[in-house]
Amino acid sequence: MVLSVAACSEHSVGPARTYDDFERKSRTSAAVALSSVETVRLLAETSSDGDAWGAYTNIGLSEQEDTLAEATGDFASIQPPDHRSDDLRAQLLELLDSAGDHIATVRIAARRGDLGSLEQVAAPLADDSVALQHFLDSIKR
Amino acid sequence: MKKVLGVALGVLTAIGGFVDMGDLVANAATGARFDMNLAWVVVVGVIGIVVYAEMSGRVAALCGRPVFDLVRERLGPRFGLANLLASFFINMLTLTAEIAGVALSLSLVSSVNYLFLIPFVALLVWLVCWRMSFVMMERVFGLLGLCLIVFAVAVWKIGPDWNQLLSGSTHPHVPHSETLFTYAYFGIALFGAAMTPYEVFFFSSGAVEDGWTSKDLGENKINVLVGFPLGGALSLAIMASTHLLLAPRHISVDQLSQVALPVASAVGRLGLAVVIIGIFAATFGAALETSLSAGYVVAQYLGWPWGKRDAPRTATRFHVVIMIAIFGAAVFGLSGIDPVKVTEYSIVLSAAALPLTYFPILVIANDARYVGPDHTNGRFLNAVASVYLIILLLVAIATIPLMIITKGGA
Amino acid sequence: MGFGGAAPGKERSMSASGAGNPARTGRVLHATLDLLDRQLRDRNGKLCGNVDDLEITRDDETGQMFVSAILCGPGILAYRMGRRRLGRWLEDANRRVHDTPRHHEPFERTRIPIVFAGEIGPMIEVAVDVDDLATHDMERWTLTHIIDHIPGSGSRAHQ
Repeated sequence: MVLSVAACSEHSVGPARTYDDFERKSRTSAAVALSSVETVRLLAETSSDGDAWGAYTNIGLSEQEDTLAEATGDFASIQPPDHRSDDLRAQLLELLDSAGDHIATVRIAARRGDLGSLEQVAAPLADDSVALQHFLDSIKR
Repeated sequence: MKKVLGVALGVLTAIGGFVDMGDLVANAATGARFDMNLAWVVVVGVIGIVVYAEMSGRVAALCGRPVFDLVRERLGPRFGLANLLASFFINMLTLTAEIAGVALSLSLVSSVNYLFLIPFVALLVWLVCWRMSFVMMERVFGLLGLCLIVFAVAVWKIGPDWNQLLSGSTHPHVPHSETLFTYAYFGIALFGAAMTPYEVFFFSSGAVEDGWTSKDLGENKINVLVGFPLGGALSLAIMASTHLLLAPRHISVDQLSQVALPVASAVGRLGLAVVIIGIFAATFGAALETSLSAGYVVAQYLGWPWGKRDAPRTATRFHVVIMIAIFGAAVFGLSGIDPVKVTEYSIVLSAAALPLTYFPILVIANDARYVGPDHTNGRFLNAVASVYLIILLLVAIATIPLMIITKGGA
Repeated sequence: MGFGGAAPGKERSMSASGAGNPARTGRVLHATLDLLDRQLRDRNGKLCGNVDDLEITRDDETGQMFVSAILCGPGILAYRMGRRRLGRWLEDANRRVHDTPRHHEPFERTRIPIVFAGEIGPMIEVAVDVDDLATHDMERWTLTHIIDHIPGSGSRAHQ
């Protein structure tokens, strides 16, 4: 039972032995990031439309910020197996950091009570989203 | 007229009480990732629980004892013990998930971190188990759970292409971005969520607590045949809402707050309030049911006095087991384990243990010594139930391997 | 109220093949199927354990084996399932918990002579009080040490 639970633990940690392995982990991390980015965008939109209240929006944003931070940290800690992987790593980390920054901005604005203008604050995330989707498409099998 | 009202109340309670944390998470996560391609699993699961809940209700009404109580004497103490241990363990996981779910729903309206709310929730759950009358408990949380209908409202408001929705559900396929393994894994999770064992334990013991007799057999049938499928429809509404609003945005569901997001987006603030009330009621009700089930299974196996209907002093060890279960689940929840992950494990492991739970029900419902010669299963029912047992066995065998292969559905 | 002396030649085992054992009530029972693991209910309708094991005695005159008593209580099921150490531990734990009984009884409190077994319906009704049985000791202990201390338990002390 313990073994099977252990075997089911997170996908993006652990060493990557081949480029394909590393690529797979980067795809997972990018997908998580995309989900967080889009969730934050939707939360910002919903909040700006007056469709949600502070507690809900704040908690939702914090959760996504933590999710992205964890995924970024996990991915950054993976040892890239070869030099080809280095490029991939640099590329994705840049996207993850950018997304993380923008999400933090939204979270800060929300905690300050600017719930009605969150959609504007979240505008840069649109580019992050496109970039992440681009990234995922470029490494599709 | 009064009888009709009583039946209606029973049906409504069954609908509202059908969904729990497992259903919320499983249906929402599946809709976001697999669109409606796994909707058929919910249908299959609902038919299964309808068939077996009817049987366990019939047994309880006709011989005054819940099905689990009869497992030891009909199938032997060893099988009974295996059943008890597996059920209790899974029950604890489920209870942890439900308590966390209640805490999460409260945090979404209070801004307090859900971890701080867990002790408060645990105390509240225990208080209700300790003092609130069984009937009132069922009714209040069952009816409040009907707030989840707002998911259907959300779907309707989004105004989807109904033809596409229907054809997507009836022509399932594995999406290109997924493998057969992840498809099967999520299918098993959905199935486990629909047929979670504690539901039959509670339903059966609840029938005895409510004092059902052969006169209530008809009502039993209606509750189950109407209430549960409508509850299943609610599950599908949850799936559809995330399919329509989250899937296009590549959002995957791993937080409870995301489950409510489609409703907020489509229906607005009022919708969000209603859905959170619904989630609160559903998870709180489920927390009560799993707590009581913990007491039921232990007390019934060992022959102790059990039951919530009479004062706690008449069933002391039963209540102590409940206390320990709630406390243990709260401690586990406080360890900071991800509530959605715990939920996932609880439903997937439920799927692995389903044959243990359901096999005895089929055996006992066919035993004239318990249900009387006139009320044993008919041949058609037996055929259907047996097919399900085979399905359950296949699901159980496939669960752990799939869990390992897909690394927990990644 | 006493149960009388222990029956001679007691064996803690079930009958070999479940052959018919005439009980005092005259019904032919298959001990393994009809009696074992059944739920017991006392004369006041309270649940008082399961039939954890059966006592089989050989009739000195006819040589026939019959069920002479129902065994029920802490540790007995464990013994039957082969877990002797667990069984002994449970017995000892119960001995510590057992408070002075209302009346002196020379009998063992885990043994219910078959004479006292009544209807064999959904439950086996036994003509004893649940308080006379060892199986209830822990229930009583829990009541006085835990439940009574919590308000709202329906305890007389708090009403």
